Amino acid sequence: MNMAPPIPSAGPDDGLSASDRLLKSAVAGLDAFAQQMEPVKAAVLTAKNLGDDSSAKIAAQLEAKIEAFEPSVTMIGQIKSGKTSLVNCMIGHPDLLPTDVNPWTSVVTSLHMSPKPINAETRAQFCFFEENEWDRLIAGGGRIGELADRAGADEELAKIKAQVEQMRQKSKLRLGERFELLLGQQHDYGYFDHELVERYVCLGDDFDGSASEQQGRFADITRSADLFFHQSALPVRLCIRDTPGVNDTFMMREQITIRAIRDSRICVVVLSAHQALSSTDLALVRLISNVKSNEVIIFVNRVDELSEPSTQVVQIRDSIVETLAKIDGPKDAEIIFGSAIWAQGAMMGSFSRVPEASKAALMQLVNASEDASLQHQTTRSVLWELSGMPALYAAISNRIMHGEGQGLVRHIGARARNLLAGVQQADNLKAKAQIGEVSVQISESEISTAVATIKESSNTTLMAELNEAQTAFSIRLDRVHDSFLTRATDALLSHLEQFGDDEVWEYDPAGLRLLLRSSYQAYGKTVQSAFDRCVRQAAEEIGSLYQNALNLPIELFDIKVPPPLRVPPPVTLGQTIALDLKGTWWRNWWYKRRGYQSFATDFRKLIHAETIGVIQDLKSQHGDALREQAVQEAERFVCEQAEILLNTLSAPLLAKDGVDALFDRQTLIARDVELKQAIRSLEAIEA
Amino acid sequence: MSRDGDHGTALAALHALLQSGGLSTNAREVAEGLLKAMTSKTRLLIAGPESAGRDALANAICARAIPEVELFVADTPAAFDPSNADICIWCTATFSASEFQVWQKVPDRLKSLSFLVPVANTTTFSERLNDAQISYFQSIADSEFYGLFPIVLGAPPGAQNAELSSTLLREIVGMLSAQRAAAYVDAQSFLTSHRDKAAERGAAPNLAADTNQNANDQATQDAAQQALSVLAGYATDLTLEMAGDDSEALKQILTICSAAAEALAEAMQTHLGGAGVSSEFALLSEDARTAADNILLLSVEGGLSQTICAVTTLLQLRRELEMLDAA
Repeated sequence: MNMAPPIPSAGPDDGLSASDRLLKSAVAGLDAFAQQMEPVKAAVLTAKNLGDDSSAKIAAQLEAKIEAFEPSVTMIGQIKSGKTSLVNCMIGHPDLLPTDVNPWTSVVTSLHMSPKPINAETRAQFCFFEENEWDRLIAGGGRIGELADRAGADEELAKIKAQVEQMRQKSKLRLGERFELLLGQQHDYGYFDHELVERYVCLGDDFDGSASEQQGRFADITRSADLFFHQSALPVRLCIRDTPGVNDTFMMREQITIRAIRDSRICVVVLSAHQALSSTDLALVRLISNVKSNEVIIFVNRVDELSEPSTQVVQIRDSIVETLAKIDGPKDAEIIFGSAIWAQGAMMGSFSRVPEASKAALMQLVNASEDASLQHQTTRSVLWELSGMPALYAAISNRIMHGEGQGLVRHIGARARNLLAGVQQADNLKAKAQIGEVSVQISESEISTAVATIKESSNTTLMAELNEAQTAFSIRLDRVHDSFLTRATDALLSHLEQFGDDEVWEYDPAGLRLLLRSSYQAYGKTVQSAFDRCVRQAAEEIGSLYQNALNLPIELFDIKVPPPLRVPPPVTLGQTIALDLKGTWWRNWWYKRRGYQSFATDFRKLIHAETIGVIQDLKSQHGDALREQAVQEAERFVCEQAEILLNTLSAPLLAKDGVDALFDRQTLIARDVELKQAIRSLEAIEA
Repeated sequence: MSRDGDHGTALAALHALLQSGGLSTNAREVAEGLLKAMTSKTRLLIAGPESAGRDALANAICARAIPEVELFVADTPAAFDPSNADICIWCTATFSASEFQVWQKVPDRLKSLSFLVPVANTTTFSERLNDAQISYFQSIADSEFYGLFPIVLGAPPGAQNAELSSTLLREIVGMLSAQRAAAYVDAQSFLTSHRDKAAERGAAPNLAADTNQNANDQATQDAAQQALSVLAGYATDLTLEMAGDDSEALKQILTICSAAAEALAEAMQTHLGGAGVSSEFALLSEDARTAADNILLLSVEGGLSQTICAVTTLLQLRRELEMLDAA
C-alpha cells in the first residue's frame, strides 16, 4: 500500500473539495433515490403547468412537500464512543461540533444539510428549556430526583438537589441573576461558526481561565440547536441529529433522546470498540428495542485503537449479537465497524495527524484483508474505506430509499396521479363542451350536496371508529397496568413468604413493556384499518359520483388511495423506570421496609407512580398523535379528491362560457400526450 | 343477607322461573343444570390401589360428616367410575405406570378437582416418602391433580404429614364451598339475564324471541367450540413439553402457554364484534384477555410455580369454555 502522504487530488472540475468528494462517493446510494424522485417531480410539474388554478395550487403543495422532504438520522451512543467526531465527519465538517462536551449538557444538535445553497435568513437556531422542564429539574432533581423521592432515598435526593443547586449557581454566574427569564426563548443567527456553537452547546467545566468568556455561556439551558448549511455533496436534504448520552446524572437526557429518536426513522447507535455492548448499556438498548431492527444501525467506532482489529472485530460482532439476543434488543440490526479518526484523516488529507498506534491498526487491517485492491489504493482512499463511513452511508441511503423515501414516492405519486387524471378528464369535458355536447348529467348544486355528504359521512364514520379504538386502547392499557401491578406485588409477596426480607428481591419490568407494546401495536392496526376503510370508501363514493355525473364506466375513475398509515414505534417504552435500576437506592428502599404488608403496599404505590407516566405517554403522545395523523390525512385526501372532482365537473361550464382558454385540436392532442406520459411514468414507479 | 339466605333466594327464584314456563328449551336445560348443581350432594370418590389409605381417609371423612357430600369408595379397578364423581382422591404407594394409564381416562375437569394422596405407614416411612419420592409425586400432581397430600398412617397427631390429612379435609371443604359459590354466581347471572325475558315470554309467547334465543345459544356454542379448538391446537405441544421439569422445559411450557392464551384471547375477541354470543361468553372473553396478560408476565418471570399457575389458568379457561359449550 502506498503510505506516502497523499497528494491532494485534482479531481474533476465539479467545484467540490476533496473531503466533499469523499462524502459524495459515500452517499451515492442517495443518488438512486433522487433519480427515483425525478419522474414524480416531473409529473407534479406537468399537473402544475397543464392544470387550472385549483390544480396548480394542489401541485404547488406537492412540490413544496417534495422540497421540504428531509430524512433524518438520530445518533445515540455510549459516553466516549466518539459519536460527535463521527457526526462531524458525516456532515463533511470534521471540526464543527465540539467533541469534548461536558456531561452536564443536554443539547440535541440537528444538522440540516441541503444540496442547494441556503437562502433563509436563519442559519442557526438555539432553543432553551421551557420553564416547566427547568422547574422539574430544579425543584425535583429531574427524573432521578423523582425516583429517589418516591423510593425514600433521602440521602441520594439530598445529593441530587445539591448538585442541581450547584448547577443553578453556575448558570447564574454565566448568565446573570435573572437568567431564568431566558427560559422558553429562542436565539436565531444568520451564520454559525465553531465559536457560536461552543457558546450554546459546549460547556467548560469551570471558569478556569482556559476557556473564553463566551464558551458554553448558554449551554446549561440550551435544549436544542438547529444548524442549516449547504452541502453540495448530497443529492437530497438530510438531517443528522446528535443526541446527548443517556446515563446522565439527572436522567434528563433520556427524555430528550427519546424525543429525538421519535423524530427520525433511522437510528445509529454508536459504540466504542473498547466497551462493546454490555449489561451496563441496558438503558441504551432499551431505547432502541422498540424501534424496528431494520431502522437501527450499530456503528462500532474506535476500531483504530484495537491492537489486532482484524480478529477483534469478529469477536466484538459476536458479543454484540449475543448481548442483543439476551436482552431483547434489535437482533437483526446491521453492524458496521470503523473509526472517526480515520475518516477525519481522510477528509483532511492528513495522514500525519493520525496517531501512530492508529496507523498500525490500519496497516494490520489492510494486511489481513481479503480485499487485495486495498494494497494498491492511496492512503486517503484506504483511510476512508476502512473508516466505515462509506458502509455507514450506504446503510443509511438504503434505509431512506426503502423506508421514508419510498413512503414519499408513493404518497406524492398517488396524489399526483389523481391530479393528472382530473386534468385529463377536465380536458375531455371541455372538448365535448366546445362541440356542444352535454356531458355532465347532474346539476352543480346536486354535485355540491353529494360532495358535502361524502365529506360528512367519511369524517363521522372515521371519528366514530377512532373514538371506539381509542377507548378500547385506553381500557386495555389500564388493565395491563393493573395486571402488572397485581402480578408484581404477588411475586413480591411470594418471595417474602418463601425467602423472607433478608434477600433483596428484583422484578423484571420486561413483561410490562411487552404487554404495552402489543397493546399499542393492536391499536395501531385498528387505526390503520379504520383509515384504510375510510379512504377506500370515500374513493369509491367519489368514483360513483363521477360515474353518475358523466354517465361513463366507473373503471375510468380509478382514484388512488394514499399508502397505509405509518404507526411510529412506541419509543416511550424505552424510558427507565424504578424496576430497571438495581442500584443502591433500591437496596435502601428494600431494607427500610418492615412487615410484608408494608412491602406490598409501598411497592405497589412506588411502581404505580413510576409506570403511570409510561402509560400516559403511550395514550397521549403515541395514541392521540396516531389518531390525529389518521384524521388529518383522511380529511386531506377526501377534501383534495372532492376539490379535483368539483373542478373537473365545472370545466365544461367554464369552456362554454368562454371564460377558460379554448384549446384547439392540436393543443388538446399535445396536452393529452403529455398527461398520459406523466401518468405512465408514475404507474411505472408504482409497479 | 347471609350467603345461605342468598343461596335460598336464588334457588327459589330459579324454581319460580322454571315453573313460569317462560324459558326457552335451552335456557330451561341450563336452569335445571344450575338447580341440580345447587341442590345435589357433591360426589366424592376415593380410589386407588392403596387400600389402607382409602379406608383411613373414608373413615376420617365420615367422622367429620362434611355436609352435602356423598362418599363413594372404589374398592376395585372395575368399581372406579370417574364419570360419576365431582371430586376424586387417589390413594397410592408409588403411582405406577398402570395407575397412570387408568388415570388418563379421567376427564380434565375432574383432574383439576382431584388430589393425589401418597400413603405411607410409620414403619416404612423413611423408605417410602423420601425427598426423591415426594418430588416425583409432586411432578405428577402438578400436571395431573389439583394438589398433593402425602399422609402417614398411624403417625401420632401433630407429626408431619399426619397433619396433612386434616389439611386435605380442609382443602376438600374449601373446594366444596367454592363450587357452591360458583353455582350461586352462575345462577345469579342466569337469573339476571333471563328473568325479564321470561316475564315477557310468559305474558305473550313469542316464537321469534325463542328463535333468537336459540340462535344466540347456538352462536355462543359455536364460539366456545372454536375457542376450544384453538386451545386443543396447543395441547399436543404442551403434553410433549410436560415430560421434563428442568428450567428449559419450564420455559418452553410457559412459552406455549403464553402463545395459547394469546391465541385464545384473540379468537374469543373476534366473536364479540358480531351479534349473537351470550354475555357469559363476553365476560369469559375478558377473563381470557386478562389471563393471557398474566401468563405472559408469568412467562417473563419463569419458574416452577409460575408454570403451574399458567397451566392451571389455561385449564380453568378450558373448563369454563366446556361449560359454555355444554350449556
